[in-house]
Amino acid sequence: MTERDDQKLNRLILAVADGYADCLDGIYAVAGGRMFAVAASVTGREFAEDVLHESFIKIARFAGKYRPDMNPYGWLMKIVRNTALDFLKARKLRREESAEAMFALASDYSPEKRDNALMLEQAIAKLDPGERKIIYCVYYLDMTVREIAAELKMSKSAVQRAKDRAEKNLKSLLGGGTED
Amino acid sequence: MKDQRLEKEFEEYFKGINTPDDITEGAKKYVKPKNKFSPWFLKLAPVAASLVIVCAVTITFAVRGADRPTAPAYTFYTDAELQKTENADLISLVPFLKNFELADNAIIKGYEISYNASGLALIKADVSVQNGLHRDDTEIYVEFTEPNLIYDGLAEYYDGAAENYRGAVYYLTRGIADNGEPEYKLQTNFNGVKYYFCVTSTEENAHIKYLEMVTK
Repeated sequence: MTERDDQKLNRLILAVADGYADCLDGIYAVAGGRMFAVAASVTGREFAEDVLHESFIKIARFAGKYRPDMNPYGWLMKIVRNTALDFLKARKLRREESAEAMFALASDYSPEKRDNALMLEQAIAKLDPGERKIIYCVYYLDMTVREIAAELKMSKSAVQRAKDRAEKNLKSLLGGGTED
Repeated sequence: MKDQRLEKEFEEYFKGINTPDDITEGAKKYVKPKNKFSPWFLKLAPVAASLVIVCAVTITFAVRGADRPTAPAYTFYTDAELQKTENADLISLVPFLKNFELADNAIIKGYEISYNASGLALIKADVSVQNGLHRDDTEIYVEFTEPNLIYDGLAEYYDGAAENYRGAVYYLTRGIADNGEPEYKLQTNFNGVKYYFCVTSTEENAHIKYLEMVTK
């Protein structure tokens, strides 16, 4: 039986809270790709590495506030996103989370994996901006429908409908059936 | 609730991103060692500190002049001095390895037996054990050489902190395996035999049960 990534992250964050500094490496091994993608989507990839450094300092300092019943991905991505926004603010850089930066990491892939990554990025790029935002909130930031509704100032039912539509369109763009 | 197919697509996507190295090193110094005292207990800290000082002075006088153990001077041998075989019969020399061979929840994935000029030196076994929801992948070394003669590949096991479990002294190094799971490197001696375990497990303090296997 293999442990799911979210269970693994949960355990690793709690271990950091218990004083095991090396578990930060484990967190990075499991969630580093997604953290990098979130950082790059806010600051652009040129500052993403700096944001990750600062994010891990926050994770180390605040792991004691993490509770086992929290969503580990949501907790981590919130730290990365807020760190990235603070990073921009501190440098008086104006930038919004951008779809281009959000979905332009396939060029960093090894050649054999690049095709699949490009296919996903191109499919996301074809969604309308509202759908892209929903996909970003759900699959990058691990936000719940309620959190998205609060952030986008929409009702929960409207967010749920928009999410269903965005997922359906994305699957259709990816091909291979929608499986609904 | 996420769409399962998309979740898998994104999981693959994130895992494929080439992430920069050495991101976590600077953060490690910010990890706080766990404070084992409750806030209630902390209120008594000044009193406790006074008691500790009194006890420390008393103990210092009590043990003054007593012999202190000194670190043994180890000598090391290398692969060049070993002859290796895979004679499975010799595994029965180590009762718990035999138990792993018979148990339904364990697999001995490989073993290696090495001799030096004096005879049997080292048995190595790679074991995978399923304990309920937890899985251990464990490298086990049992060394039969003179007490201070150690295989050089095992020297790092002595770098760990010396700890005590039910009277058995052992060295323990905690780390993280390549797969992100906690890794415990344990060394202990029992009845003149040296035991080494490198346990990668999802279970907290997974090393303890190996210590119990050796010492019971």
